[in-house]
Amino acid sequence: MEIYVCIKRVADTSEVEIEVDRSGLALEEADFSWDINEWDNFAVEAAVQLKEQHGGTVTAITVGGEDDEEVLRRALAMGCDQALHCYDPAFEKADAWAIATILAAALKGRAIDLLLFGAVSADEGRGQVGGLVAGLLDLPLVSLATALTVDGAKAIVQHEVENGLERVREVDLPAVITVQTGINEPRYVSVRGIRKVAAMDIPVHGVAELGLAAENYASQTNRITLEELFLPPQGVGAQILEGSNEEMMNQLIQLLQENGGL
Amino acid sequence: MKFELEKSQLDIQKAAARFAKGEFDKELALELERTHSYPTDIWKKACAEGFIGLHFPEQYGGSGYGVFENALVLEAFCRQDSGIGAAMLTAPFGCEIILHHGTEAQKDHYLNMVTSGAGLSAGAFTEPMHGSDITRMSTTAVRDGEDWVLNGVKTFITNAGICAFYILLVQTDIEAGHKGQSMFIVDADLPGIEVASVGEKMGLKMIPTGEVSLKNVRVPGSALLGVENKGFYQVLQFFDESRIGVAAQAVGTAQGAFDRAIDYIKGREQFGIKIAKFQAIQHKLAEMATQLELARLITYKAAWFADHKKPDAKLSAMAKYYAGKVASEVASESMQLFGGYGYITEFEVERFYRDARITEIYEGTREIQKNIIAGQVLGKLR
Amino acid sequence: MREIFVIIEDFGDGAWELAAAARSLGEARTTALVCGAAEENQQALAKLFDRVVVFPASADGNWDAEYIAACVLPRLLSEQPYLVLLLHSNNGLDLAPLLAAKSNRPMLADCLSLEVREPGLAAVRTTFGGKVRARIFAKESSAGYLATLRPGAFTTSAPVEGAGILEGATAPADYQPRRRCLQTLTPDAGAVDITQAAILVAVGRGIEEQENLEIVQSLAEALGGELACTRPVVDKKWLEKSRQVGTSGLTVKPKIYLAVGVSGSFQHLGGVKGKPYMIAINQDPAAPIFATADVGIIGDLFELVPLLEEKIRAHKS
Repeated sequence: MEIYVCIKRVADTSEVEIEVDRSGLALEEADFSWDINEWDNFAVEAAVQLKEQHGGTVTAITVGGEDDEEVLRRALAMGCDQALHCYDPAFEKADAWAIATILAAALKGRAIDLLLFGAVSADEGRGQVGGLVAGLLDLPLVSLATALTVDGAKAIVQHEVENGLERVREVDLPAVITVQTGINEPRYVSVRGIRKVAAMDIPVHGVAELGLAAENYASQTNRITLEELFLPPQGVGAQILEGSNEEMMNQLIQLLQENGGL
Repeated sequence: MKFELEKSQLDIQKAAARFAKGEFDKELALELERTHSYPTDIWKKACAEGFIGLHFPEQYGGSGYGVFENALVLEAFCRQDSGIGAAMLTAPFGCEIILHHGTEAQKDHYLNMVTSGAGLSAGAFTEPMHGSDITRMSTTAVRDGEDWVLNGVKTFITNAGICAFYILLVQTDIEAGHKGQSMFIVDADLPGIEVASVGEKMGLKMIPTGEVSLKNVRVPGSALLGVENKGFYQVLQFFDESRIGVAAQAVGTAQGAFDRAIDYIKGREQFGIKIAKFQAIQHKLAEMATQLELARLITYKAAWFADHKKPDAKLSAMAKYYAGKVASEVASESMQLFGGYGYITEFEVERFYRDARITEIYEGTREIQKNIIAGQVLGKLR
Repeated sequence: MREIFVIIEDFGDGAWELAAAARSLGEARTTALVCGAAEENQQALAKLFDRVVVFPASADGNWDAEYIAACVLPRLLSEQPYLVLLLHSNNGLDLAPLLAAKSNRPMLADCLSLEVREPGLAAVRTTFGGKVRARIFAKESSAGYLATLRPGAFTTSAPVEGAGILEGATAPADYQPRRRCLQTLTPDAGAVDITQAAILVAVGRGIEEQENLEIVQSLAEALGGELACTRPVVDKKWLEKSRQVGTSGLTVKPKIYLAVGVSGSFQHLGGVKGKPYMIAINQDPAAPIFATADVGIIGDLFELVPLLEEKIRAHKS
């Protein structure tokens, strides 16, 4: 089985206080620690498990800068067989569409049985690159997988749908599956794995290798530009409700509704 | 000159931090402390992931990395949990002597044992009458045909009672002082070995520390480790390397206490103001952060020397002395920043403080480290 | 006039929010596309939109993104609407990027607000797990735009009543499914995992007696959330440790955090991450929880909690 898994390096901002930098277009990165996007880590584990069961090869791909090679080394150390680093100065600041087209160019012409993505990324949180690539390559898509097995030319995928329900689908291969956290228990990166990877060569493909003509690929391909980053308005202390118990609870119902609690 | 980790060093640092974060559960650590239980499951997992003995060659279950990579792992482990981290540091304690001086059979058997998680080791150098001064041992080994017969008492032995074997420093030529010392690898289950606890400790409560007495313990000639009557030199060389591990433990422990203090003061308010906004607090933090960075730098430098040249007695002693001092001070100040909560077990920082203190004591007290440094600085005084 | 297409996932709040979002962009002709809708649901949609195009339901009667794409894509390509709107829900995520790729439209994902700004479309969305907001701009696009909406974000402006022309449509004759639904699963009952809960009702010392927990448990059930607690409640062994939030308990990241009788100690709040919408009910006006919470209610929880539960249940039915 030929499995491809598309991954991304993101900043872990869960424990740090975020500040927007002077440009207004990026965050102050001093305290950030970088690692593989959590969802993508589950996707890598799913890919490696499928390979262990069915044989074949797993190739990890990322579109990103020089330092982002780190997540490919990590994926290799976890058991992926090959990696491809789509890196070119012309890819800088690529939006979801540009990233999807780069991935599609990298994948075109390859024999693919399964193409895995993390369902969403911890930074941008758009959840669209996997689906865009499925559309560009005209492959069937199942999003937010919580279980995944392969049976011959079909995958059996359980995925999250409406109202806390999950649906089990059978999907013809090749297919694109985006993976939800919790689908498996990702293994640790072992020292032996790191050792193995140190000797491996990770090919770097830029515009030329991918057959993408444009000089300023990202700026010409991007469809969405970032205008401003800002922090959500922060309340100074609670809004204290007034009135009778009845009135306060009516207001609260309204507020719960507005804030997604009902 | 390059102040940057190599790619695989970064990978190892991250992998260790992630493993520690995933496995070193706080509640579990507190429970192990209370019950004085060794973190056996975590140790076995760490072995399975290749963290224990990663600086041994692959044929002995290691990954062929160096002292530097080992230091990075120990720092990350102790940063997450000072107690469990220390247990991981001491799991293969003394085995570098086997690596450097052992026979092929010894290396194959004992190094594979500690890297696979089949057994723990223990280095038995200290004696009740001789602490950091190991120039004269009371424990003896006497030749009897092909065998050796060992008698004596070793104390402050980490992993005593739970280890699979002891690496002993004994007197084989009673007249020759430190020039008459040899080393033996002694399986822990041999008749004549008895272990007694040394009593309750201030820290490192998960790891047993004991007194090991040997009464007519008979070992074959193949148990001799290294060259007869060269044991003293073998141990000195070992300390030059192992002190870097203790320095890494100290840096990690200090950083772990510091991390917790930062978290606390960012959330804590007094007099209506976040205490992190008080300049007195900020200046204290600045000092602590600087000390930590310096301790880390000298530890890395000593590790780099061990891998690229050879373990440097002066640098290793400086690293252990300084990092140990920083660990004690930073952990103490971190505890202070917590105020009353710092004294409460639940908040962990008091444990880091207790665990930090040992880094100024074991594997040569800070005074011994100063002796070594001074000796190197002055050269032979005539 | 601008043409805006919306793809209907449900006939309740979702449809209403899609209509509200479409109307928020000024003069537009709105078309709802739906696969499978009972007569009364068609009528409900007709009230919200100018035109309702009804395709046959999918084979299993559920939302099937692949089938919906096959139905609506020819319409998007032939009618070239200015904008296509979907909800940024699990189901929406399964369809929206496919449609965007196949109709060659820029996709603005998970929008909190939208604004037409010629020659393009602007939106505000969240990034970094909700910690940061981003103002984004989709450049001029001759193929039009596609946006997914954060559920619950477009509730302020009431949609104008639509012209409501109903139009029947057929599924494409050559539709060949590449994925088939085998089963729909309902979630496990019983297992408690407060770290994954979107709604948490946390109870603190203010509950006074173990017997009183029942009213808070019942409120949590009514809200569809999990019951959580502070340390003192666990210390008294009134609830299991797996429900404790705080520096010595679990770290949670819900969307809604309703704290009942919780003073709001640093140790407790240290376990609440991700800036949830926080509501505090407490008798003590000086309780520190009111400094952190978004909404505070000062009063007797033994009166307020049952009353709130009653209102929630009334609202939900």
